[in-house]
Amino acid sequence: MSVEVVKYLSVGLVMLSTIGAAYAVGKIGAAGLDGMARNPEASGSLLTAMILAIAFAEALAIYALVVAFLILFA
Amino acid sequence: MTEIVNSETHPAVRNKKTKRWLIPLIGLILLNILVVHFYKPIAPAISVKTESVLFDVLDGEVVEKPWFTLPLLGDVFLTNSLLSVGIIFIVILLLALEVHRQTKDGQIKAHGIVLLLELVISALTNMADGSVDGKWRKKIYPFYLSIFLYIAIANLTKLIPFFESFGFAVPVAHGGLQAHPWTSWFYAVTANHAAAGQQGYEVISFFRGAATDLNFTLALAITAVIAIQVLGFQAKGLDYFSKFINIKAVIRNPKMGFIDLFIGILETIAEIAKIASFGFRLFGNMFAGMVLLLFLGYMIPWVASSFIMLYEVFIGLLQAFIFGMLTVVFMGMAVRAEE
Repeated sequence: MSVEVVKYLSVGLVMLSTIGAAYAVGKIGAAGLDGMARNPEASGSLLTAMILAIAFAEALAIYALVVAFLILFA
Repeated sequence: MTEIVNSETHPAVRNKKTKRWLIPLIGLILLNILVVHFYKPIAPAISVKTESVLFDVLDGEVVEKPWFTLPLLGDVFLTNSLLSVGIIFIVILLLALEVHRQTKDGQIKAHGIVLLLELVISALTNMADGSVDGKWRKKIYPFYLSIFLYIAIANLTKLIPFFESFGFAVPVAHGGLQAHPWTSWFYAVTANHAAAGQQGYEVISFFRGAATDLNFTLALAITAVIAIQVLGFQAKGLDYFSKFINIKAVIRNPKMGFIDLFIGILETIAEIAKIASFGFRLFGNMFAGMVLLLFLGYMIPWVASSFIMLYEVFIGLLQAFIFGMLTVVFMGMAVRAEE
């Protein structure tokens, strides 16, 4: 295998971490909607908390994305 | 005010108005197709590192020239992301002048852009009220709102036409793209690769989105984390640092105190990880957006990238909100009194 091939394969492997982030974001979104449906008055504060939690979960996928960019372009 | 009433009561007026928007839209789409027919979008050259706009060309190679040299820290380069930070400063200064102009004689009625700012600020503060104690709001909200405003404007500057597509056409040693000289100093770099023996060119853009530079996001992140520590120190005094090195617990209970000492080490690591998480989240989102836009513009030159641009603007505002909101939450946690 040439260096180029290893590069692209490793980018693919790194980006597998998006599976975890996608699962987490889906779970948070489902729980948030559940809470909003049960208690519509609290939907404002629930939305803020939900977006924050999604940001935390998404950050892990973004780290992988940064690593992938560094492998590809740096 | 009258316009709103009119459009609600007379559907015919509203229809006429929406149709008037369609004409420039169709015109722009046709212009897009026409321009792309003559000048195809070039394959993007993407680098994580930002390019310096001051450079020399030696033997067909670009050598970056430092802007000025600091005594201890070394060379400082005038990069293209630094230039767009200049644009942000100008925009924020103009906004501040407008706010000053409208509020200097104690006017209560704001209008135009100041009204928009007021709406945005009141919406943002309403969302943050739950996580900050009342007496600290005056100290914490300036950080929150200025971080939001700064990042939001930084992410909105890419809406300026030709923001990332105008630049220096620099010669490269091998490879590169053909360029048509229009005048002696104005070149149009085309999508064709330079043939053997021909001089190839590359584009170094004048501007580059500020948040696609790791220096910008990490600087903001470090500022935010240091501000969190300072506010925590102001709230609790030296007790705040017992979160990190818990000597008091060791003296009180020599056997179990070491667990608290270990937790202190973990807290320190968490504080440093905050910098990385703040910085890389913003950088990763905005850089991914830039790469997506550039590649999509290259592969599907017609219309499609406009919709992705709309999505990117939304992501940019959302990331600005998340950065500010997380700062507020961490600051609120740092100043909260423990029972």
